[in-house]
Parts: sequence; structure tokens; C-alpha cells
Amino acid sequence: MSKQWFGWAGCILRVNLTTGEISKEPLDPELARAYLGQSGINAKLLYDLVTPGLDPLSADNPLIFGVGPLGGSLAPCSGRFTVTSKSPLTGIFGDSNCGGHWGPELKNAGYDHIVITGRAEHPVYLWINDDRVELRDARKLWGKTTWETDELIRTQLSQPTAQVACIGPAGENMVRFAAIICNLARAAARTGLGAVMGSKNLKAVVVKGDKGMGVANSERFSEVVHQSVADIQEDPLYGVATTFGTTAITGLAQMLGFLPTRNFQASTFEEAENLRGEVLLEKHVTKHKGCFNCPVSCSRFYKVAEGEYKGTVGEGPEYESVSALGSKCGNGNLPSILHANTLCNQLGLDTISCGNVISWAMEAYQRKIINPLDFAGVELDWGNHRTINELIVQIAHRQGLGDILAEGTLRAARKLGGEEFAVHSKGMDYPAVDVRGTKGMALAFSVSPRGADHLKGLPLYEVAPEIYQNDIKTEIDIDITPAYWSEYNTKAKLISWHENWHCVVDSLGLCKLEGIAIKPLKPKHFQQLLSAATGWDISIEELEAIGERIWNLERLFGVREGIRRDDDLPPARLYNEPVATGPAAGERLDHDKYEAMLNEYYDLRGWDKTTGIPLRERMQRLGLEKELAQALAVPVVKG
Amino acid sequence: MALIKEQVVSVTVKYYVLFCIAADYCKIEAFQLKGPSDLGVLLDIICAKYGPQFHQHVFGADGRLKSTAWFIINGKKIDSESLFSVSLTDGDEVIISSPLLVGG
Repeated sequence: MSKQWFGWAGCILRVNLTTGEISKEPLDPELARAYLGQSGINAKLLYDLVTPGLDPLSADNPLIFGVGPLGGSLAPCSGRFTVTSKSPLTGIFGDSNCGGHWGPELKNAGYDHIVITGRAEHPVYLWINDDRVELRDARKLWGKTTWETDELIRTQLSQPTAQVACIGPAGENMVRFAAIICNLARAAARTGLGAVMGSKNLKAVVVKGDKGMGVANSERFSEVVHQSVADIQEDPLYGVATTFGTTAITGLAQMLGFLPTRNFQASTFEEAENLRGEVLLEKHVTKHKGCFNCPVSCSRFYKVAEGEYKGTVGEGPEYESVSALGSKCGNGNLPSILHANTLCNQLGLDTISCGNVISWAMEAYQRKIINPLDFAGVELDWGNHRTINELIVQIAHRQGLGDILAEGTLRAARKLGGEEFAVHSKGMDYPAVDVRGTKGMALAFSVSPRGADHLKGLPLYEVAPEIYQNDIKTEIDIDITPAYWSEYNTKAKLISWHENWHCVVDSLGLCKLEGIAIKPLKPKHFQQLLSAATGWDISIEELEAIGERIWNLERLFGVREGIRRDDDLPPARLYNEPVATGPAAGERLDHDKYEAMLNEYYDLRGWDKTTGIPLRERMQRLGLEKELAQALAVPVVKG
Repeated sequence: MALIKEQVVSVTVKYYVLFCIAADYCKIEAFQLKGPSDLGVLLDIICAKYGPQFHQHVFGADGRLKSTAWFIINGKKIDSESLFSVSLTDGDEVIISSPLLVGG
């Protein structure tokens, strides 16, 4: 089945948990040509399988795993995989991209995608060992943490190097922002797909493969790989990335005034010095750690050696987690953040949504919307790190206030009050950038098809323009100015370009830390790597068009569920409340300027400016006429 | 004869990211500048104190300021063109940092 393929394994595995039926089918070459792989093909499979209005936690909602044509290859940073489903958090398109070693193992086992449907009668896990695929009883694993599950399964199978992607109690209890965890700390976390797994009684997907993969032109591929690695290592910021990973951002965010603090009530934090990556490195990091075939190794193992949280060990945390469980909650206690990060990984929670919903609850308490007496006296004062850690456990187990917070910020706000300070887009919590000072990111977070999102359209060039000004000019033909990040002009062009290429990167199976979001790997690298690996004759322009197709398909998924222009606006707080202190003091989003930027974005995208619906002409060009017709055939019912 | 009191300018320097490591994990440090008090003078003092490992993060092999060396005074990023001649005044806070990706 796979001999004709280079790059791809050439096989889709389908598993019906209701009937126990397992089948394999060849990957359609036309599908690969149109959507590349991983997140792109996942999106197409999802679009075709989901009917509008489907309950994301119903048996009919498919859960799709995918790895790209470069995934598991010698291409640098090729350890990614994507999980895709209809999101239980947002009710629209959901996907999450994850590193580690699970994705390459799936490719080694001979599969590009796994499509899981139905619901098992009792907890099971899926065991894939090359051609042998079976569902195994997981009743004794139910209730276990992700760390326990990972260890128990590998021991039970006598497969110490098997790769385990599993859920913890949060996924089992269908917390709407539950994560899927692999390698103990790598998380497919955003959009709550761990809850979909829990709804299916699926505890884990375990993979061990020995087939390897082939490339079409090994000599040329090796040449491009070496050049790509050299370009990564020669990047001016390589030293920062490999030493600190994303935690270096904490100090920068404070310095430039975009560090979300107390649920976005401020954008600088008076205790930020305690949270800097430098402090983490000096006091807690024990060793650096990398994902599959990564020359950067941006992650780190940590240990808390003394104090209240003595004994805490784990991996990470990323900047997003430091902010979500730290500054957003007014918490300047770094050891407590490390403990909270470990808890989230063990219980299987998205640290971003978890931190955000707790920070929202703290503000609701500040505004006397939440009465502690109604919830066993929980103390929700800002910076109370013990409460943060207690609430994480309560959320995962749906206990007390945690049961309400487990529904996510928007649903909790609608139940208890306080929706005006729920900082979200399309129901997903905001990442750790106060976008009142960074107008392009405001647009990127708002138009993302999966809700507020720093990864789909991240315009890194916006925050470090002088480093990348030549690239901005060469790649996007934009002339920057010294105050570029606070401007509205040209941002629509900047964002749409990033969105297209991020779709490509996520579909090839590479990591965005080194591709597009930061300079080293550029479109020419992707084209050369893909061409050498697969034997395809493909141009940079054709690749970008595939990215545009994927982006529009994800948009059409939202349109089919009722997403319109109103859903592409930032949360009210960011319009109405100027930044109070710090370097961005006085900044807020200007309504008219934002709307003009959105109009420009719709023009570039070929979307209707009144509704935000993609127009027929552009969809015809992208080969999405049928999908557009399906999206328009559904009457709009908005909740 | 009237005594001319030598002017002393006190500034605080914060070291971020690789500059923090190059400064032996020093995160914040006070300096008192006597005589000329511009950023160039301050940088000379710091580079002399922390040696070649610090210097190489600020300057390239050609002796030019690296694009990855950012200087922020009182929250405002200083343009590299005029960097060395920027005057410092008493109480200024100087941050030395690299720009970085946003993600995670």
C-alpha cells in the first residue's frame, strides 16, 4: 500500500469505537495534492464527516489524528502532529498541534491519519503496532493521571518506547478545555479535544512503528536538510530560543507592556521579575529537552528544590502557561506556577484556558459576582496560588466551583454573570498577548477559525520588525516603520500571509517555532524540503495556494456553524478600557480603525464585507465551491 | 575659588535573556556615572566589567552593534542609530535585552 509513496505513509486508519470495526484505506493522492497532510487533510476529513449543529461530545463527532509528509523525516523540527475535531469549547472548528515523538511514531507505523468515530461501551485504548491494530480494555486506567497512564500502558505492553497520547481525569470528565498529552508534557491542548476523547471512552492512542519512511530524492533531501539546519543555527535569535525557549518572552512582554495581568485589567505585572525565564533557568531548570529531530531543543525539565512546592518536577512551562497561571491570575510565585503546570499536564488540561477561566473567576470575585459562600468558601483573591492549584484539581474532577469553570470562561460567565470581562474570541480564551498595543495580533486572534489563537496567524514580524525588515520586504513586500506594531496599516496583508503559510507548515508536519513565525525557515525551505522528500514538482506559489485553501475550508466550517463578521471582532474590554500603566499606557483598539483593517482583510481574503462569508469567485479558484454551497445551505441559528 | 561639584548620574540596569547569563545571572544592577553620562559610556563600563562574553552579545565581529541587542530606557526602545550618544539622567532605568518570538 505504501510503496508508491514518498514522504507520506499512504494510509488512513479508520476506527469505529461503537462497532469495534478497524479498517485501512489508501491515502488519495488528489487529497494530498489539495491539502498536503496533517492539519490540512484532517480539516478536509472533518468537514466531510461532520453535519452542522452536531454536538461535539456526541458519538458522531470524529476525532482525527494526522501527521504530515515531512513528519518523522530528517527535516528539522519534524516532530509535530495535529488532532482535529469539532470543538466542545467553541462549537466550531477545533484542532491542536503537538510536538514530542508521537507523530513520527505514527508515520513509522505506516499511517498518515487516524479517523476515530463512535463511542466505546467501556473505556478502551487504541494500540497500533505497525499492521497490528487493536482496541484494548482501559477500565483499569480510567481515573488515572496522564503520567500514570503513560507508564502503565508501556509496562503492560512491554513496549518501553511506545508513544502514548492520552487523557487524564479532565478529559474523562469532559472538561471543555481538556488536553491530550503525550510524552508527559507535550499537549494537544487548545479547543478541548481531550473532552472529545473522553466522550468516546477512549483513554489513549498508543503507537509503535518500525517501518520507517522513504524520501524520493535522498541526496537532494539531505542537502536541503543540512542547509535548513544551518539556517536555523545561524539565526540571530537561535541562542535565545535554545537557551530559554518561549520563557524569554516574559521579560520582553513586561518590558514592552503586553503581559496580560489580572484577566487583562493591566498589561504589566509588578511581580513579573519573579516570572522571568532567567529566574526559571537559574533556579529550577535541570536539563534542556527537545522534540523529535529538533536542533533547537527549546523545552526544559524543571524541579522545585525547596519551599511549599518542593518536589515538583515537570517539563516546560511555556511562556503562555507562565502568563496564564501567573500574571493573568496576579500570581508572582514561580514555584506555584511550576506546580500548576505539572498538575495541568497530569490531569490533562489546557494551561491557557485553565489559567484564563481562573483569572476570570478571580475578577468575578473582585466584582462581587461570585460569592465564596456559595462555593465552600473558596478564596479567589488575586495571586492566591493555593487557590489556583486547588481549582485546577476541582476543574479536572468537576467539583464545586470547578464544575462551572470546567465549562470554559464564556459558559461560566453566561451562568454566573460577568460576560463583559470574559476575554475570548469565538468562545476560546485569549493567549498571553495584550493586543491593545499590537494591532495585527488583535486581527489575528479575532479571525482565527478556531477562536482566539496565537498560533494560526502569529505575525512575529510585528514585534521585532527591525530584525526581520528585509524578510518582511522580500516575502510580503511591506515597508515597516519604527512604530510598526502599534499601527493598523498593512496588518491585514501581514496576517493573511502568515495564516496561509502557517497552514502549510502545520500540514507538512514542521514546528512553527522555526518556520515562518520566526525567521529561519521560509517558504523556499518548505518547497525544497517537500519537493525532495516527495518527488513533487511544486512551486512556492502553489504551496501558498494550498495554505489559502486550508484556511478557507476552516473558515467555511465556521460559516456552516453560523460564524459571521460579528464573530471576528475583539472582546469589548480591549476596545473600551485603555491600558492603564506601562509602556503601552493609553493604548486601546480603535473601533473604526479595527473595522477598516477587517474590511481590508476581507478584501484580501475574497470574503463578503457585510457577512464575512467567503465569496463564490475565490472559492471556485480554490476548488471549494461544493464546500461553500454546503455552508450556505444551512440556516443560521446562533446561540 | 568656588568648588565645582562633579556630577554623578545614578542609573539602574536590568539584564534580560542572554545578557543576564553573560552578566553572571545578574538581573538588576546600579551604576553611578561620573563625568560624561551617555549610553556609550555605560556600555563601555558594563562590557569591561563582564568581559568578552558580554561584549560578543552586544557587538558583532565587525565591531558593529548587533541587531539583537535592544536598549530600552524608561520603557522606550532606543533607535540603534543614535544609541551611543543618548544622554542618561539621574534615576534612569536601562534594560538590555534581545527581542524574541511570541508563542508557546
